[in-house]
Amino acid sequence: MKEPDDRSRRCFIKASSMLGLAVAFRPAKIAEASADSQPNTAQKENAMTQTSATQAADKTTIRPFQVNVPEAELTELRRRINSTRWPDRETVSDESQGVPLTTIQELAPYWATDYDWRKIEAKLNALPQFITEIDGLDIYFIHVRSKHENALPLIVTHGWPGSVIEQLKIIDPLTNPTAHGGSASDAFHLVIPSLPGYGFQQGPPLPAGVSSALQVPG
Amino acid sequence: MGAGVCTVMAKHTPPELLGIHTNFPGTIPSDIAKSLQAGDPPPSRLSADESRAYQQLTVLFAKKRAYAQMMATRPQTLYGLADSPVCLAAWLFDHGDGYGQPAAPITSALLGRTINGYSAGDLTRDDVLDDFTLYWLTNTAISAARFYWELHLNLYNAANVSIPAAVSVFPGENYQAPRSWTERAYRKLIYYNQVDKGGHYAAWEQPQLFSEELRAGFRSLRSHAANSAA
Repeated sequence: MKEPDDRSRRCFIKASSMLGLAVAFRPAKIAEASADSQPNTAQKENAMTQTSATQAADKTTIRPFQVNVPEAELTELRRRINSTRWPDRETVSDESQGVPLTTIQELAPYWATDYDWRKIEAKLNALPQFITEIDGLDIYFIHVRSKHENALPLIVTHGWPGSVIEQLKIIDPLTNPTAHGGSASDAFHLVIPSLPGYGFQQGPPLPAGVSSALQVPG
Repeated sequence: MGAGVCTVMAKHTPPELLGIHTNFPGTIPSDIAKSLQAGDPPPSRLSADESRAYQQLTVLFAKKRAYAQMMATRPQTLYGLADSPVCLAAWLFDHGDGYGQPAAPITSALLGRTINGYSAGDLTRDDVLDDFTLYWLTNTAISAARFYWELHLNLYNAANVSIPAAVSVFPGENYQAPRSWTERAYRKLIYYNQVDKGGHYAAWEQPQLFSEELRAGFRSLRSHAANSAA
């Protein structure tokens, strides 16, 4: 029942997970998306923007993506941290009842004052970020190609309670191994996607959104 | 959960997929899984490595997986994650590893001092807050939790992967997968290595070591890839 194009897209994402011959993303396709840019009002919330977003009809093209959280969202985060209603402290002297009150109370003031989201935002925006629709779901990913010709394509998949942020430190060692004690023959091209429902994309609206894509065969 | 996705992709065996690497392998043999489920003591035939893994898994299943069970059964009820940054931070923070719950390197990073002798490695307080803040700003804690509800993946039982697989075992992971179990669960095991530092967040805590593991793990597949391309 899937359109042929749909099937090939699904396959395409799988292929890049791997090490394989599949070249993950064709530059021509990305250029096409950039040329076709229009503001997209259907963006989720207002926590992020696409620099070269396309019209709804072109959701399945690969679109460049930038993170740009409105200042009001950050102000609201700080306000909420500062107005936390705290419970009593735990009745034990270890972590057997959960995260100790003193630990989280030590973290909260820093998060509400000196912590600077704009630093990570700049780091992400310095990387090639994209979004595209696969099987009706927006999928965000970072795609960094190695300068070495024979690099192998590899998807790096995060889990809970992580995100693509967990994988940023391995990008340079893997794509540019000669600067990190490796040889050119160790190079990878990386695709680092967000899992469905995570990060800068919409969650699946129906259970089938994830299950159909990840059904275990046989 | 990312390891579960990796396993599922490997089981689809698309021709383009040459192999996988995981630092969170599912290796528990079915008879051992039954003993664990029954709460039995370690079977006497286990080797030292297997017996250690058995003990680690006993603790894990009894005490460290409540968060996953909640998300796999009642994710929508976790409204506080969408409403309170502190609730969200505590929930994300309370994921354990082999060194403790919360994972010791995360605690060390957040507090900026080494806790119980477990170093944060390269992890900083800002790294961890970047991750927490991403969940907050995108309001994705519940939709991410729903992933557990949908997948019902058992991440620990033998993965039964037939394509080439490389496995790195980090000392701070929830359990140290024994080579014997790993060889049975990943039938074309092309690489197995126990490293000396790093926990559940290996790529985040020890990026250089993790990168070296990926290079070494996939090295034998590269000549294969080149031959196929020719």
